[in-house]
Amino acid sequence: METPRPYSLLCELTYRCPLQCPYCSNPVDFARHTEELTTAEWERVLTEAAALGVVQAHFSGGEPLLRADLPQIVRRARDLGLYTNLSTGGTLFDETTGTQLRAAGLDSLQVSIQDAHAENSDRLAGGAPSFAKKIHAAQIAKQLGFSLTINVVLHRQNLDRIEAIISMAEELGAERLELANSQYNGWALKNRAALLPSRAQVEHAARVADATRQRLAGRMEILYVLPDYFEPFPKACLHGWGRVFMTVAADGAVLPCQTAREIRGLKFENVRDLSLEKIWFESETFCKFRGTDWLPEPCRSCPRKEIDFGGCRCQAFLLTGDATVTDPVCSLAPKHHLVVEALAGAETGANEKLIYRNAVESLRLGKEQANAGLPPEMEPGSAD
Amino acid sequence: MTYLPDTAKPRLAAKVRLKWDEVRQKPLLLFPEGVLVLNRTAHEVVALCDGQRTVAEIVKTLGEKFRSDTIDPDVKELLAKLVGKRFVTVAD
Repeated sequence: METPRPYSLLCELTYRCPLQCPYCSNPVDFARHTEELTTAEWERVLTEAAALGVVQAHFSGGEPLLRADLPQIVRRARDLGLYTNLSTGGTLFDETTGTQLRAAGLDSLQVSIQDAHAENSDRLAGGAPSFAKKIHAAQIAKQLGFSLTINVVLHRQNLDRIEAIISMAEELGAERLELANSQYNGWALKNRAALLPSRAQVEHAARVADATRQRLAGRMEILYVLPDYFEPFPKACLHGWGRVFMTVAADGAVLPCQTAREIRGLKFENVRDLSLEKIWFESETFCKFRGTDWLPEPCRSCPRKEIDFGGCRCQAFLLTGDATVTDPVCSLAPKHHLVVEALAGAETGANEKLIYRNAVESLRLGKEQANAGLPPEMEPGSAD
Repeated sequence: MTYLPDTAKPRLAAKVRLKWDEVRQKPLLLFPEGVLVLNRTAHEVVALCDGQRTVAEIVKTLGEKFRSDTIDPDVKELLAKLVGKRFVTVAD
């Protein structure tokens, strides 16, 4: 089969961030990667990406607004004909920046909010109070005429306010609300005992999202992604490894997905050394899990193998220590008990203490991981 | 599915862009976090959704182009689907 070309490029412009969300998708050891790409390097990355077949550029971080050259980078992407999305925490988004981004041709804007409850949102985001700034950012975005998406990561500590969260997005005039259940990789896995919801919470939220979707049809689109822990089969992570999506991290490392850096033993090429085209088509890491030839059993003989490609490689590695096995969230996976045990833990109450995503914790956890034979999550008892 | 009246003037939603993909030689619809590869008919219909033409005019233009008298239901169903997915909206 001919190797497909990527449609979508995620540009993690920086790992720096004023927020400290305990489910951040940045790698746990992000603080080690400090050599950010320059403006000219990002422009080259975008040019190479467009030639490779990328039609969409998503700009995120960390907090992408910490890069003063963001409007210039967005403009470059637009000049290349790419559709441009920005994901921001909102605290640095003001009228000046918004106007610059609008002029640069930014197509779509996503503001993340942690909860509809101000104090809880501030507590979850960590650091300085951020909720009021986020609301203000969303309001400015609307005034400037942006197509606005509100993104709320859902978990044990905010799922019960699903109704209030939807009302908040409605009041802000969002065109789209992404209710994204936390994915338990990286930081969220470190905080799993505090974040993993009960089944009742997840199902209640799904019912509310469903009913609201009908009520708001034509006004606000609602995306509710069920957490894979509660599903019988894994997600088609990224629609398959190295198939439609690639990430360039802040330091130029090219990743099949933004969490892939958690998989130890994989080598990630850098845009400073090789072209995106060469990395996509030829690098060992991109070829390793592409397609279905590499699949282990029970995936290899499974009728769903072209649907989910064996699930998430990061999750397989983080839960079992081996990236080549079936994603343990699959009910057919040999290590599915790891997920069942975590879910049982979530039914009987949880440890509320959060590890915040900041440089101090990152360096500490990075060191811990480097010293350990296997990640601590391998022990089923870690769900408390 | 809601069908548009013949007098409605459909246009692409603000967040959506139609793009000719030079690399793949295919028409695409681009929107927040997604891409839709269009077939030839869908491309022809979307390209005429400019907020100026009415549904009746779009049907007529395509009927002439494809030399077909029976294109009407296909075009209208496609438009209804595009409206349902909020890719296409009706100009005021």
